[in-house]
Amino acid sequence: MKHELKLLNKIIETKDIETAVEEEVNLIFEGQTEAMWHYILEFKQDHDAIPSKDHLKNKFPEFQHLNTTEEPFSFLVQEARTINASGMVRQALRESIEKLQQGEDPVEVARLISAKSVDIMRDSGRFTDANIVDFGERTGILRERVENPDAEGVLGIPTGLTLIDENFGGWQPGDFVVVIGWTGAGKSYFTRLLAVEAWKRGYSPLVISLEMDKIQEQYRMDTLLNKGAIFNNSDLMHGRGVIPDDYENWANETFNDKHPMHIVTAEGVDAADQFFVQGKIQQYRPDMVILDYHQLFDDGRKGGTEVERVKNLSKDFKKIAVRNQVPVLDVSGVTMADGHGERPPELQEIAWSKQLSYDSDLVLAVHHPADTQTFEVISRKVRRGNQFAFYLNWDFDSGQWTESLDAME
Amino acid sequence: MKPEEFVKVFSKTCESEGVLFVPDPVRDKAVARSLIKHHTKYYTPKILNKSAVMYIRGRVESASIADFAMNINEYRDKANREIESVNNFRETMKRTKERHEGLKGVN
Repeated sequence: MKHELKLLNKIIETKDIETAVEEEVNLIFEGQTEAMWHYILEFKQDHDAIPSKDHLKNKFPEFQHLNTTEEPFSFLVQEARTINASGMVRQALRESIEKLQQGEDPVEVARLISAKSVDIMRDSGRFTDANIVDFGERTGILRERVENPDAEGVLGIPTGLTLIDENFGGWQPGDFVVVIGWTGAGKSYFTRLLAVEAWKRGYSPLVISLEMDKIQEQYRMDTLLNKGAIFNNSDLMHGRGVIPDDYENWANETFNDKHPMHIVTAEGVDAADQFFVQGKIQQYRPDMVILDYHQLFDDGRKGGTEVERVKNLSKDFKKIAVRNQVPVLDVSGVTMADGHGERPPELQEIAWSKQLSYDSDLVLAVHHPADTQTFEVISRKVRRGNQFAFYLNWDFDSGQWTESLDAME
Repeated sequence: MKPEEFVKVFSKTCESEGVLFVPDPVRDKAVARSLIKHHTKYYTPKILNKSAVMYIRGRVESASIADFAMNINEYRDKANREIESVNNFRETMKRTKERHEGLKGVN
């Protein structure tokens, strides 16, 4: 634990939280030091400052003042990673020996060691290059996929929409998905539908929404889960047509003892940039992340022009998805000189930068023609699979929806 | 399409979009005739109509058929892109449906 405390001391001394986040120190901290790291992140978010060592000591008596002026930041990170990796290797070996002693199949134990070693390499920051002729890892992954298919026959997190699952597959670790649409086209609502569908299947989404307030967001999720059975979205927003006790009973049945679905809004947040996103992922460890929306995020790298800002964020969101092995869905606005088109936007209409389309694994364009309950969805880029398009017949107020492939004139 | 019809549709669209239509009774019919002839020969009347709608929607205060004709290139390109995009959506959906039906057959 001492090496972890030294690292925390160094972060406080240098006040360089951005480098710490970039270096993925979250993978190093455990137990008490993990709690201290989260506290520092939250403190930074609330006060735009790093707590002093005395402050941290008052909060966590286990914290120790250590002088780290001599040692460079990178040295301490490397030292902590090495010590942690060593502990993880010992732990993996101990578990394997125990299993062998209990008479378990040695091949199964070998597979366990193989899986653990991938985790250790990733967590210690050494999971880097690959030699394509070493096919062992790929064979192992394929075997795992064939032998343990998901209940819905989808790899990754099922999207809840059959036509996306069929053509792209589920959300997989490291996916960077961009959702584009004209202003008011329902692109935010569409991503909340995806969050709710993931949650219903036992996954924990994290939604970082800079556009809407917390209560609005939560009522929207309620609506998607309730599908008009007890209330509509407008009932919740206007406080009419719904009996609070009925709502409470429904919420009790729906949410009690369930896995979390975190929503982070802009309320009380000074700057929401890529480091903030990384911090929130470390804090909540979600199964998928929704960022709403791209152009509202601040660029922690201080890009000068709007194009640079959007570009920096795009690259960093993609890296965040890959590093954290979590799918990231990023909502983006589009630009059009002469008003809105009467169709889903094209790739070249993404606001400010083409970088988003370069970095993405999937770009979904959504469109909601005025005065209809029809929602058009089309892929503009699919890194794995075929281009696809479909309709959603969706009543936003009740939250009821169905997929359709029948053309509507 | 007849020139009178085009002028009528143009002015009606201006009205529904809240844009002031500036008529030019001396030239409107002649310009409309020329536009229709050109677009029937080289493009389609559908593109002409779509271009006119896009032109009117892009105007802040007023619109005229002569001004539209002078800037036709810009709006025809945009109209073309819109039409292609809509056709692409339908085509992609058709292919999605074929694959979906095929998968159902397999399962």
